[in-house]
Amino acid sequence: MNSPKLKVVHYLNQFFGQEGQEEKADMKFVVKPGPVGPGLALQKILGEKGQVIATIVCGDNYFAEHMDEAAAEAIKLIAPYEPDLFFAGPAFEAGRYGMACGAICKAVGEKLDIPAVTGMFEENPGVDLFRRHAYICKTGRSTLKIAQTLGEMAALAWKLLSPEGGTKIVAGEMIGRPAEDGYFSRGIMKNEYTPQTAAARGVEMLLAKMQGRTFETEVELPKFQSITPPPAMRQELGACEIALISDGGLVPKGNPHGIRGRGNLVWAVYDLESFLPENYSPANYEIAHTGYYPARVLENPNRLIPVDVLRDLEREGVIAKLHPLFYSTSGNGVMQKRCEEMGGEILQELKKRGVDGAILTST
Amino acid sequence: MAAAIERQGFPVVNITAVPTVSSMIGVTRVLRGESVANLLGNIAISPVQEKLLRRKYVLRALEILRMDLKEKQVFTLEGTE
Repeated sequence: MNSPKLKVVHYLNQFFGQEGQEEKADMKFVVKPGPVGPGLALQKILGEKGQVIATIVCGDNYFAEHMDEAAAEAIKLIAPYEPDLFFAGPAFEAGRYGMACGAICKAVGEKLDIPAVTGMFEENPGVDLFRRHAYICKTGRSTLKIAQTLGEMAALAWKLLSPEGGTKIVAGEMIGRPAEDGYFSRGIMKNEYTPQTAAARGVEMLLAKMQGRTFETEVELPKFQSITPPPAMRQELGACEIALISDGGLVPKGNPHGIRGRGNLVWAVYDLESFLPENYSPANYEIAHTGYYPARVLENPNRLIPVDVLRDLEREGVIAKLHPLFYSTSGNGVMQKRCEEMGGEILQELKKRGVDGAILTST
Repeated sequence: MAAAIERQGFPVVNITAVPTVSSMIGVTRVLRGESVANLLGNIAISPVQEKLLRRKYVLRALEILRMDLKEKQVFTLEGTE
């Protein structure tokens, strides 16, 4: 049997692409022939089945700061090679790199309709953002296991190449469940035939749970912890300084801090006196949040951050002070871990500045 | 973010039109707002009335910040859920 060698293209960031480290994080795309860096290990794994014909490389910042344009650019560079298979990274824990790998794999899958496989650590923001759009193998944090990871990525790729695609590498092998094949659940529910009805499976699961036996859930729900309510503000309101925080994506026109409408990673601070004066103009704002209809807030940002009322209350002496800074971010599709971090980072600021309590508005 | 802030023992009240989400995550001081896209506003009433409504919300939020809570609670303008 002599099937043609599959044509493979590989994406790497500036570091793995052997261009440099953070000082090169702004570099634009370059294309290098054949495999580069970890691509050499990948080529060894592919053996006679595939040939890494090109490697595209760009800087982590270059990609992360304008992801859509960069993904489109990547497609323009990849498409002419007419690859059968695409790999990105693996990115492990690196967030910008993970987002780039995920975004490019998504674009490749959609535009070129070939399997696109990458690998990331579970907390990589690229996982939550792209797990439904790309095949992301689960990796550890450490890049030391890169060869093993590339092997797992290749194994997944073989399964993705269906017999109908013309390459009979693995005939008729169905892609397994995420847990079996070591990739992040894409949140896709597939119908399966089982010998038992759902009712029977449900009862069996309940019995197992009651009897302390192990069981496997069919749908995984997110797990949350309970929190002890923080003590109330101790002082009389008239002595309290109150701060405003919002995840509704309210930013100055032009969105100078590049807060993303979805999958955002950053927060910004705006001085309320200049940001939202009493004689504000709707034209001076943007909503960096694609999860809600922005018109009402744009008409009057006080509907999201009640600055007008808090200013009145300060004037009247009901509160001591409206904290002069507004902490703004976008909470649309932000992974839980980064959300936690941002909360902690903002809190540090509030504590530093002697704020007594905060109102956090969410959309 | 509110959960992270609360976990460190700092008083914060989360005003949201979808309190289920905040509550599910464990946020203890949650105040239900008007609507997702118009959290502290209402286009069915005049701007003057709307600002009065917003004032009610803020005063309620401040009240909640001064309440000692034993366990998490979703508040409304008038009471609790």
